[in-house]
Amino acid sequence: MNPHPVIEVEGLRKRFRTRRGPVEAVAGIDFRVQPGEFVGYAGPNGAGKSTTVKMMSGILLPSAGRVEVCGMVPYRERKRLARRMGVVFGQRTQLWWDLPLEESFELVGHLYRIPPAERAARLARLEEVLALGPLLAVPVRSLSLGQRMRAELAAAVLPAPEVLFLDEPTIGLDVEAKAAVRDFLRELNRDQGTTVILTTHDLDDITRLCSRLMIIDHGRLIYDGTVEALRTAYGTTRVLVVDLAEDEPVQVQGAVLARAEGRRRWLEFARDEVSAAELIARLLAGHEVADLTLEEPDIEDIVRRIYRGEAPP
Amino acid sequence: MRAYLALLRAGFQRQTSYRLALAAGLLTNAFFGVVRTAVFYALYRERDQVAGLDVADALTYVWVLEGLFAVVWAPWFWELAEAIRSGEFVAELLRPGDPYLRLLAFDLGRTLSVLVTRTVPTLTVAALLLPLRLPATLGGLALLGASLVLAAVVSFQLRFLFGSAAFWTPDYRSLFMLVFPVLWLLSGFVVPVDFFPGPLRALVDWSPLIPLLMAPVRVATGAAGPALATQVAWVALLWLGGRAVLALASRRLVVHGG
Repeated sequence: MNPHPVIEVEGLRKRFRTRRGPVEAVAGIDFRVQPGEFVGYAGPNGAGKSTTVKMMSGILLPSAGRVEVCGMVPYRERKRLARRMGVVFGQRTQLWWDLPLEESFELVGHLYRIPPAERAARLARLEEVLALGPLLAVPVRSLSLGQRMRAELAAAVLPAPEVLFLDEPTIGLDVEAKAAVRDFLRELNRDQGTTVILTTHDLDDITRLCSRLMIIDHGRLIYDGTVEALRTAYGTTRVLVVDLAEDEPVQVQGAVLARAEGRRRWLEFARDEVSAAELIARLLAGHEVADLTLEEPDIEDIVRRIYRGEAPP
Repeated sequence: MRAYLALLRAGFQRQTSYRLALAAGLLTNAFFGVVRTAVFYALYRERDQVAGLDVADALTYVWVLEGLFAVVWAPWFWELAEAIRSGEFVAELLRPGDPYLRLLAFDLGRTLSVLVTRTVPTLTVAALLLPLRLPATLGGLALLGASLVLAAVVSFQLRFLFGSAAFWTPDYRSLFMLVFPVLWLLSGFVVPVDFFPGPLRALVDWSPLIPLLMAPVRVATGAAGPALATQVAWVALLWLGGRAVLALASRRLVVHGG
């Protein structure tokens, strides 16, 4: 394992004082992120995701524990770290509201002291990948949400950060805009080796992009591993959807009837008890079947069950 | 340094691009300038001096006031407070460099645009049509120019302090509305500070409201030295004050969350 993780978090806690007493938003979490990892950070509302990201980016002081990003303590060396880290908050803009996009990029270039030639080259690349060309003369306030998000991403990666924190970057985007953002992030991670921490509610983002998934709930890390491992560990239930030739009662050994609607039946079965082939064979032995499909466990479903405490890790 | 100059230029260009707002602003200034001119002419019909000001001083006051109106009470008065409330201010903490200087540079860019496109034309036209008392030498005009820029800087510094209230209370507007009539009167935007009763005038002369309007009026009408010195002193004091407030606010934000 790489001895120099880009992010190191140890025993990290954050307590807030509220009118209803103290609340522990982050209740002691530990993890390390190696350079080039693409980590999805998921959890229900109020689980502590944003609080963790704020502590990692240096705009929130931890109550206890240790956090280091690029070898720096974020809240102490925020301005120095700012040159090596990019942050995008989906619902807040970091661009100059009234300025044409082009000028915002120019300002970013000056603030981060990017040599003009270098800036032009990087911008040309970003313009192409994010299709920004027609937007450059438009003031940020006139951009649509999808256009703005592409612009925010471009501004955040223009200084070529080593680490990129993304807080809900696809929230409110339509299918096409989401796809554009995902393609861009995948390429950024693969080609530039940028470490990406992606906070999202959209598990689709995570399954499509992330090599690693961390789930936080009630301030505690309840899962840290690959998406595939999560699927095999918790997604043991598969569903065989059967359209019978005739409307008749169905009973197959090893499966439970979950739902019935007209001639369609949903049969739930456990992956480790019976194979799909075996189950289909048993079914066909006793019934005439018009059609069938096999549904794999949905990651969303698994995570929902984890949140509800039905699939404790 | 280059970054701050780029911000200044961007602010200037941004403000200059609002042509319709500029036209509307110039018209409003002309309208209220004419009304105020008529009022002061009526006042001076019976006498030559009021509180040490003659009619030329009074008219100069009127047109400097019109010229500086949009600099002091900038249309973007609540911009900082709103950014703090919405959480967008956090972006300032996540950038390299100095947030206070960045905000100042961008704001000064915009107020410089107002000075160039509104203050200077308004004063020039008024001086051509009315007996204003403006410096006759190039040096005198340069001092007036410096005084107007200093007024713009102090205006930013005070607006920054008012906007910073949003770090501590969501009700920052009510707080301001409460003191607004007093600020309006004391800064000299109703009548010249010279018209105030002695003790009040003495008090106001030592306040940061003087650099906003009365100091440029005094630079224009002759007492340039002390007026400029007052402005420079307040820029320095408010600089320290603004930075202290920003440090406190950032500390609060970082400890308690935004």
